Amino acid sequence: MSSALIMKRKIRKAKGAMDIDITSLMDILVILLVFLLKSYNPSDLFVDITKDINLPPSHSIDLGEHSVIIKIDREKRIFVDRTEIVESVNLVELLKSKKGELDKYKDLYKKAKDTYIINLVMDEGTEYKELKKVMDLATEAGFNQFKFIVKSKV
Amino acid sequence: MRTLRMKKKMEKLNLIPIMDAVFIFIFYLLMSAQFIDIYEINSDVAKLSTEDQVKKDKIPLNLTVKIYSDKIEILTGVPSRLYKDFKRDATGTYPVEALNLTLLSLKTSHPDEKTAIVIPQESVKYKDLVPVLDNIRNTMENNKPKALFSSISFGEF
Repeated sequence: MSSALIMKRKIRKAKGAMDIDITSLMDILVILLVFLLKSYNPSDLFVDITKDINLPPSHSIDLGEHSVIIKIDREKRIFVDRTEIVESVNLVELLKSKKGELDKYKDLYKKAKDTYIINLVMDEGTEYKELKKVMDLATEAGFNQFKFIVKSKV
Repeated sequence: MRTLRMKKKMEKLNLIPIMDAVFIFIFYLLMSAQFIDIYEINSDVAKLSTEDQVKKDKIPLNLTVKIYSDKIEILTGVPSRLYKDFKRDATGTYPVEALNLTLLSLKTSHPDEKTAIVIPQESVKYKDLVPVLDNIRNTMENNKPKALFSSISFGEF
């Protein structure tokens, strides 16, 4: 081995660990942090919005909360959470069982049991008669509050 | 003296703990981020009042908003009487601004009233219903929403 190469190695050893400039990484992280903070949602409601549902815009700024979700899509198909409903009788039965699940959730998080909420996620083209039918059946199953899920107008 | 200070190597900040915290924060925010802004409009199931007696010295407003496919009617009082109606314009939209102004004047004369009964016709579309509900519930004051009749119940024809 040449003496020049040995010398180079000795110098590198003497220098110690290499310093990485993390300023640019910090910049990216701060930008990412600001963006995520802006899109942060403190609500415990999570809604899967499919392409068959176009939510109407609204000025409302009230945040939703976790509960049973009923979806009505463009084809007038009704879903409770992710289960498609074929007959009205099934909807009432399913909602009654969901109410039981909701009770367990409320016990776990020590929430009041006087209100049973249905989150309604509907396509903007849905007619009121569809909505009314669902609301009537949900009332029959013991739910007493309806929340219409809308998208922000801004 | 100055030259000595300049010769001193500048001490570097230890950024590793900050980086750790920022990474954890980013993961937490990523998990809770919602990229579509969704909100809710609240509505109750119509129920009978459980209060002992409605104050007799005040005449209840009993605000009812009937939404037809071609117009909106505001009814007040017991028994309900037509207060004002708004025809749908040529573009097919309901005149919600005019509705909002009328409701604002009703709210000014009845500041304690919070309830409105909404009765839509079966053929009314959800996209037409939402702006009406928005304008019944709130009005914009200095770019901030101010509550009008925030408690909404649905009734039947």
